[in-house]
Amino acid sequence: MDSLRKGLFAGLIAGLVLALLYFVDYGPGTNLHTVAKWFALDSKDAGGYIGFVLLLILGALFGLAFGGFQRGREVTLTHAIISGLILGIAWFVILVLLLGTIVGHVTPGLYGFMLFIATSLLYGLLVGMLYYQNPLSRTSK
Amino acid sequence: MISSTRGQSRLTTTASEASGATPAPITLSERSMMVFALIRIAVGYLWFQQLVWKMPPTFKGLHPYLVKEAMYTILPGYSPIIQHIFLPNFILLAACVWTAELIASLCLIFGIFTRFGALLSALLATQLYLGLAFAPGEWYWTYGMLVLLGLVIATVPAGRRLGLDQFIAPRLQAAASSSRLARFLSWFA
Repeated sequence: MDSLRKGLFAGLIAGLVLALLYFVDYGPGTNLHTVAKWFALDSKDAGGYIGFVLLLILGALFGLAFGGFQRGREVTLTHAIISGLILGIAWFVILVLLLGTIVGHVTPGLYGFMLFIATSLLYGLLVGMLYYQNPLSRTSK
Repeated sequence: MISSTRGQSRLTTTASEASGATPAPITLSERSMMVFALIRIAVGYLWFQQLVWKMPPTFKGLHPYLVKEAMYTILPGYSPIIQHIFLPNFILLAACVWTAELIASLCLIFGIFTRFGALLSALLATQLYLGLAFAPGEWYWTYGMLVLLGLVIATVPAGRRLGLDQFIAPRLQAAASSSRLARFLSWFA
């Protein structure tokens, strides 16, 4: 249960960081619209907000899955980094490549590809590091 | 020396510092280090975003800025260098600039050899300051702040929280006694 809670917290924070980064782009918030497009939920007015909320929800869900995989394991720094980066790759493949192209019909150009792979890996790294550093359990002590 | 300790939330002043004998080491809290890490990520993202308007293979967006630098640089002798060396070899120069910005941004985003990335970003920003800061329509502090951001991140081990330097730095420091390369690289982590 503790690992799920830690994973959820780490995923939520990492998702929030990603959502904030996607907000401050040329647009503003163009990449938040891209996130909404992954689920075919984009609209001119509300697409940015939908993308923001989706990133929080997806971040939390992926974090929860991360916590589930870590259940009963002793998480070292090396383990947290590697499994976090694997989570980032899973995020990129599932959301950007599969969902983005199949549901959203979003084909990223070279920059879009670079941006989403970098930010997906960043998400994974943040989840791994936050899970390892576990600020939640530290503050609850 | 700056270090991070759990649970210590404010700077401490020892009796020796109060008497003016020796300055006490400054300790940054865990929370402060996390904030620094988030700032590092944001600055890295700032540099990453600037790749979009000068993408290879043409690096088209960079050309007007280089011409502007040749016209308005404040560094004596820099304008002829831009006109006679950089502009005729634009693709090569642009590829180097683009690659340098990519490396700086990735170092900062992932916190890997963060100080190297921060110094590289400060160097790139210094070049922008010298070339563009006083061009019409530019606010000179834009580039000044970019230089300062790079220098601030270089002075704090911002990659050791939420970054890969947390993994790399202790290993390099452990190897530093037997390896000159490790000692050299450890400064950048």
